[in-house]
Amino acid sequence: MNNAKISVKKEITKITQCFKLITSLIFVLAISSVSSQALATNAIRSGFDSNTLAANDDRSSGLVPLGFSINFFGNGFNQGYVNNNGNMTFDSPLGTFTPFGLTATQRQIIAPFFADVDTRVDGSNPVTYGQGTVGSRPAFAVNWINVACFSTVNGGYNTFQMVLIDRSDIGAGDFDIEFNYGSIVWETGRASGGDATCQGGNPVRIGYSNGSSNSFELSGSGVSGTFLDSNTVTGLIYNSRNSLQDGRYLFEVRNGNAPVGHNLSGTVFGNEITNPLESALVQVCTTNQDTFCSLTSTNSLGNYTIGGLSDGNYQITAFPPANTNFQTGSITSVISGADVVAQNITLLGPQPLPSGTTIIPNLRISDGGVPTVNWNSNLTLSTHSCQGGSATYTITDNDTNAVIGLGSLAESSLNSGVYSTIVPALFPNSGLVTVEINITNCLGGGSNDIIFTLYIDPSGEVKDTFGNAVGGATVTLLRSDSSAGPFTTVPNGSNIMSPVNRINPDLTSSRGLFGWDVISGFYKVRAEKTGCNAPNNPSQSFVESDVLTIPPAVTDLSLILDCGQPVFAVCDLDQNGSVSKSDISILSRNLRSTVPAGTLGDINGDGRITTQDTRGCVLQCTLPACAN
Amino acid sequence: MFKKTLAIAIFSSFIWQTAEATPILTFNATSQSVNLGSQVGIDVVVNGLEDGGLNEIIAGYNLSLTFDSSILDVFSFSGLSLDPNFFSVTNSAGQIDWNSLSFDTDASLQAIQGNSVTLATIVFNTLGQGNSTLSFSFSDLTGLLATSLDFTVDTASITVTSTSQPQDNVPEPSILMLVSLSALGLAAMKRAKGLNV
Repeated sequence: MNNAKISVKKEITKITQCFKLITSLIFVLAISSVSSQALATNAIRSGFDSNTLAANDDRSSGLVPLGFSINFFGNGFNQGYVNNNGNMTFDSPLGTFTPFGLTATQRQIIAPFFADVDTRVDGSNPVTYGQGTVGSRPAFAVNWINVACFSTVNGGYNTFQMVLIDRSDIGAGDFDIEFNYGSIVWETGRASGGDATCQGGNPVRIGYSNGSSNSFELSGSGVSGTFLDSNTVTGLIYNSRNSLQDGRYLFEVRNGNAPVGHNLSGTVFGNEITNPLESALVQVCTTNQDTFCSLTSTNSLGNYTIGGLSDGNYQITAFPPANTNFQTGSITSVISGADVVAQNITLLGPQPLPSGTTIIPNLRISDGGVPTVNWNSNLTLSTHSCQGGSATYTITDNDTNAVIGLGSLAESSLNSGVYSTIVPALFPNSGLVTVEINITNCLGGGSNDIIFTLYIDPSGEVKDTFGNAVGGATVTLLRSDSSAGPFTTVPNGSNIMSPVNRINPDLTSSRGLFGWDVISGFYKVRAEKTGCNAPNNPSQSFVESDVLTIPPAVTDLSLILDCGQPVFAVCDLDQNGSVSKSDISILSRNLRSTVPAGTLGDINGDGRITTQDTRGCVLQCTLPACAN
Repeated sequence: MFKKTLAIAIFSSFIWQTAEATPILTFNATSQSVNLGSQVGIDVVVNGLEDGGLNEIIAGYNLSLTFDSSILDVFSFSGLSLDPNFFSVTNSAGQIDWNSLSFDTDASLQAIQGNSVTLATIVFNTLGQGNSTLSFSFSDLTGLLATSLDFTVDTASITVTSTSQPQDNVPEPSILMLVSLSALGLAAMKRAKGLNV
């Protein structure tokens, strides 16, 4: 059987050589196209090319060391065979060129693109491989950069890569599998039923197997046309798994277990089902205590698919695309022995804070009109409405519909029609809520219903070494797909952050507060301010959090800057450790004075004492005596 | 097409005007005339705290008002006290300085202050004939979040005439408005003609 396939391959080789001259022009154009695609996606990691598998067809390397040990479904490996046909095996070399299904194979294999690669073809690069690092972790990778199909230049050249990343920092034998794709223009060798351009027939398989009980194949594996660049919906370079980099598919292997199981798919809409949303980030998280999330984004039809999910309960959350003001939306789903489809999520637009209504202190008001408040802050809710009425408010959690706050508002005796109240801090609630103010029995019988969306932020604050809030500090959010890094600044306006705050870097409020609502991943937060530095390290102008794994939500994150004298104490003129009316009285006696830089009381640093300084100190005074 | 363009232009103009609304530190009457020997009152006000979508407040202020001490002398002064312990006023020839600071929250101030806040009511004795300009030699207003309020400043004038001369009638507002509109109309005609040349 195997001999028969070899003879077919040889015959096709002869025919192909006759067309070499005719196809040379097409080849040049194809290279140009491939290069631009690869640059556009940038999923391929550089390096890992210290070894070369000489140009060949169906050959393999000898055993090559990974540089670290992996636990792959209970089997320990520290070396393997690099096979020319888009895969790596651990039991023995694999020369098979027509891909077989990976869910029933007896081979121990990891296959980023199991198909008939022929690096002898003109213009094809040989396969390279070697050790290196990803972030701070050792890694081993195999590169198939601009490789041809068997046995023609007419199919063009594919670029893909497999990277194994040592994660023994998490657990012995733990590692990540990365499949990276730069350009996929062919899917089938001509000896595997592929046509003249290497399409159709028995197309590529993508996945992995331990050769017995555990395996995984990417959705669409073995289905012609699924993974090609020409398919802008399901093409490999347009999608991702557990990565924000298009063309990158990340599978975490922990305690020997790589993701296996079923697919969960659906569509994300904006407001109505006639409006599918492209580029919405979707995270699928287990709902048990050991929260584990998978991540992808919607394609041009608004569709998403996440594979390798075991049976269990999941929460699916969709983040709206950048430059939209939809709110995040969540549903729950159950996987039980089969793929789950049609898990659709409709994202709704926010209900903005209406004119005449305020809630303070707020950290910001988003472009969509949604105010953000810190969960530890008491809030003053105020609104203008009809005169002489009775006013109540209700605050409802958007996810659970639970009422988390209610009370009444009093009408001002000096300004009729103005209602206000103090809303106690909303801790421990966080996230999106709906505030409804209901005013009834106004003079003349009128009534009014005011509704707006509010975001309760639990994130954190920047303090000085004395424990005082540092306002106006620059806070920067950094992210990585992996806890090993590398961490890069989340782009300003990115849909990695929910629309309640897509500003990055941002400034802390006057109370030192900051916060973002973010998609799952690994994050760091950096804080810096002129005149401040890292405690015990004057040469470092910033402080940075440890790696933060989201979810679960990180709450009350505290970053400490050394700013010399206490920031808060700039109003503590009598230096007794607190800001009181006596400090403000001292300051008031010096109104209009011009003062040197850094003078206590000149909190805005403009070199003179004004009512902005006295008022600023009033706002920093938290003593009961300062409350009117 | 023309109509659509025009409509957009008008709308844009409206938006621009609303966005540019700025409070003004002014007086309840910017021009008064009284007989020598009688008294004249004037209010110092901040207008426009809620214009153009603003929701501003006066959380603190510090002002100096100057006038001609040969014509006017302060008879009585009543200033806005934002907090009884943080209000002070000093009066010298030709100048009044006063300031106050609130310990209320911004929200509370938003609730009790409206579009206009009166910062002082002053009654002057008249000492001599002539015209005295009332102007602010120092003005510092603090709004929301302890930030400096962006505002414009007005002046006022008080004319003191001889008791033997019949006092000119103060023009009614409607007459003033008509005169102003006429002047604006004339100016506009002149400008339009100029453009056609």
